[in-house]
Amino acid sequence: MKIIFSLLLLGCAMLLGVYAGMQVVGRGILPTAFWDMKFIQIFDIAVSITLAVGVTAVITKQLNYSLKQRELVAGCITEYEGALCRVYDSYSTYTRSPNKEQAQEILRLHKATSNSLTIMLSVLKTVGRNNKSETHENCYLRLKGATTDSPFGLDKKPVVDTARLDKIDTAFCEARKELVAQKLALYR
Amino acid sequence: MHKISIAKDFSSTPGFRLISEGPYSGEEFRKSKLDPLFKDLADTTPIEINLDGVAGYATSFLEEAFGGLARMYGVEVCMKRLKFRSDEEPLLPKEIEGYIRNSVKK
Repeated sequence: MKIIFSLLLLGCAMLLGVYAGMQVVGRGILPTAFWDMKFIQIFDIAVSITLAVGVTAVITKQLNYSLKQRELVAGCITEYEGALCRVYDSYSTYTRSPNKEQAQEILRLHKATSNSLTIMLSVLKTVGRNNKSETHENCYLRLKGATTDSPFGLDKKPVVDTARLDKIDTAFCEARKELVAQKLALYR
Repeated sequence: MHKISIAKDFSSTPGFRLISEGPYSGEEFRKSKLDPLFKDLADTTPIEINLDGVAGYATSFLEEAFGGLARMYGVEVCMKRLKFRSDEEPLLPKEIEGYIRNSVKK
């Protein structure tokens, strides 16, 4: 509706311009040869310019929308990535000084991360880029399993062994790798 | 239908896997809340488990509570009777169903 109104307004402005030009010619300010065109030609030019401006406006609007949409999706991915990093950092703290409070903190962070993942997946679904939902979920569940499966919640060292740390690192890297691929796919 | 809210009927800060690892463990939840409902093998009443309202769940808690139950009573029985609900963490029901299905591998 707004676009149609703008186009009409632009058309009116062009016709007013033509009228003003004719008045200028009528008063002899410009030579008559300058306006030696038929009205239909002037109308053609006016319509062409109006359409060109209209189409440009529509395309610009679409591009802006698409760009904003990508920014929103990228923002959600970044937020989820940040949540994953907080879990990973928190687990590092726990391995250095294991205690039940720190273990509960990891669980709290996992809840926030899970929420963040759900939001990210729902946004990806909205923009039709949810073909890797299962992969993201599995990556997250692997990291959750690696960090909070037994032995977990014990407050005596050692709480982890090298194999477990490797498992956590692998799960964390895989999850991030998938997120980077997802982000890159947005701009293809 | 039986209804269990983990936050209201058990704890808002569920613990870890075994009773020996501290309070509100998965083992304790299974023994105190789930086992009594599964004792009667002829009973097929669905059990709705509300997972909301807690600080977070450890994999060890969920695996011991629900995976452990499936090891005792069978995957099919558990999948048939247990219905999970979580508005706060929509991924949780899927996660738990995975522990139930994979319980025999443990």
